[in-house]
Amino acid sequence: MKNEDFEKALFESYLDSIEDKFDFEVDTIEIEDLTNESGEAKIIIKDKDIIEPLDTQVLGTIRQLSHKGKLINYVPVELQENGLYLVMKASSFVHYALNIDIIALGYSGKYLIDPYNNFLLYPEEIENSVLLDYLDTFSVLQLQEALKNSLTEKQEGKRIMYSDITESWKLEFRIKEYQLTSYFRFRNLNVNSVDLTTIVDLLMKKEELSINKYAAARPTLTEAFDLMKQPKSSNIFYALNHTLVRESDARVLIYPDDEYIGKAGKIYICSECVFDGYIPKKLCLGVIAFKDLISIQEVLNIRIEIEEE
Amino acid sequence: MALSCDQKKYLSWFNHLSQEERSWGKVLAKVWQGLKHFSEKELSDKDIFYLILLIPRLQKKQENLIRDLCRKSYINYWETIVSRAGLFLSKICPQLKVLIRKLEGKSEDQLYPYLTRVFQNIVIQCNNDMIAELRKDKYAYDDNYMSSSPKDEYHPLKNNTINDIIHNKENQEGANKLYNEIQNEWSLSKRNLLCEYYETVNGIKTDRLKEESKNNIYKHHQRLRETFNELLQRYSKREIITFFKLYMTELCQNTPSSPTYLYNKSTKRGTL
Repeated sequence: MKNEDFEKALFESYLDSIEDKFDFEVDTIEIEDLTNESGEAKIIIKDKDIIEPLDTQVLGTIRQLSHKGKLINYVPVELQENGLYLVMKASSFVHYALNIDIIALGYSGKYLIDPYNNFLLYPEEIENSVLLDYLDTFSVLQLQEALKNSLTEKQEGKRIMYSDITESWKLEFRIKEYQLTSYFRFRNLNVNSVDLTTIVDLLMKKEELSINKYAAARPTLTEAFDLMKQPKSSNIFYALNHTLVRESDARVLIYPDDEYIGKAGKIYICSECVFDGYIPKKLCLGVIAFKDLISIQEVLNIRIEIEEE
Repeated sequence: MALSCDQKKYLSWFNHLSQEERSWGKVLAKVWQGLKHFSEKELSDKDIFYLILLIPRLQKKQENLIRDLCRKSYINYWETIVSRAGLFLSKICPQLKVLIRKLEGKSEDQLYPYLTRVFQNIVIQCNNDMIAELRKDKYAYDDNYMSSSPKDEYHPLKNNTINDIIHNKENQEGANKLYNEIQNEWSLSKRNLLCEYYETVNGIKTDRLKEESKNNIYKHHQRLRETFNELLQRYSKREIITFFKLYMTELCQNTPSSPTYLYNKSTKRGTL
């Protein structure tokens, strides 16, 4: 099997694994396959002294919740004073691990844990999740250390270094993982402002790798006209239903038009949904190394869609 | 324990199953029934057959990939299913008692969807191991985040679970050395702190450090993390994991509980 075919098939199996649907119908081809082979195989079970997990453990457990038809694996890392749990995104697909991730061992296998993809959950959500596995205490210690570092870096305005992603499938995986958690990452934040820096960085990297160079839809005629009539040097760009503003510190902000604010909707960048919830007053795209805002709008193809009532 | 799985017998058994017996609910119920009594009695041929029937159906896309890899490498697909059934059992075994307790009293409507997800997670792990084995992959990621040691490379089917790690003799020796070091060289206060951390993480009710402020506890935990970062220079991550699993209960039993960091400290809210 060619490497690219393998990577594609593996990514499809990852996508399949996050779907909250189940189909158990019997596959007749599979049975035929079995009849073409012959032989006997053995299951060897080693008699080991089993050291069981403690059923009182919450921190460092691998859990799964279902949200809008998708399954989200996570690990609670810290119980906050307000009673909420700070959790990190986890996945069994360690094939896609980067240097920023932590690989932790459970009883069923290994998990890729992204310390930067963290969010808050209520105790009821933790309790109602499916408990999949248990990590060891030392992994919890490492996760807490990584969490502290990631929060410090965030406060200092440091960006995650995705420079080591040279494989397109690792990037696709990371974008998907961030999409899965977007509802939870944004729901407890200040409703007036949402930070999209990480997902924008990933999407920019995707553009850079030219994986999906033409994924962003071409602008419509009206949008093209808007693009043409505005000066390139401006620090403000008026798009069809939002405004882009470059701040003095070079950060680029999206200000959705007034009629969208507070309404349930979705924001798309490069055809990928990056925000799903009530549209905030502003969203930060981070510092984007482009010459002008028109190019940013053109390359990222930012769109806002409001859910029909 | 070695269980023989004859393919012809399996097919004959499978072909005699009615449509209803092949249904998800029935298969899951049979597998769960076998697993529930696994610690008391060995699995029968039928128990294993039901497991073999279950495994390829839990993650179909991953299964197709495994079948393709087998076909292209002329590897016997049946053997991979049987091998994964064995892996499945070794992975679920340590968690079985906890899982049984958790699911006690749940109705079928709650039980089956829950079990499906737990089984799916284990099957994904078994499949990942198998895919890596079939591809002879060597994923080059940093497994030892804090020490950045290159010695911990990913080897499919080896040292892939907590149980594999703690049953490794070298890891056990390292863990024993660390236990002795902590017993003999750490102050009682520091051992009390370590036990408080262990008990808190594992949800064990504890009175240790309960008179310290949250801020102090936070700072003590930070120092504890730093200590373990330093220990990673002399002990591997696997040895430390083994130490936590094998010796922490004993260490905490031997370490008297103190509500403050410093023992016999009369003042509350001690500062660092």
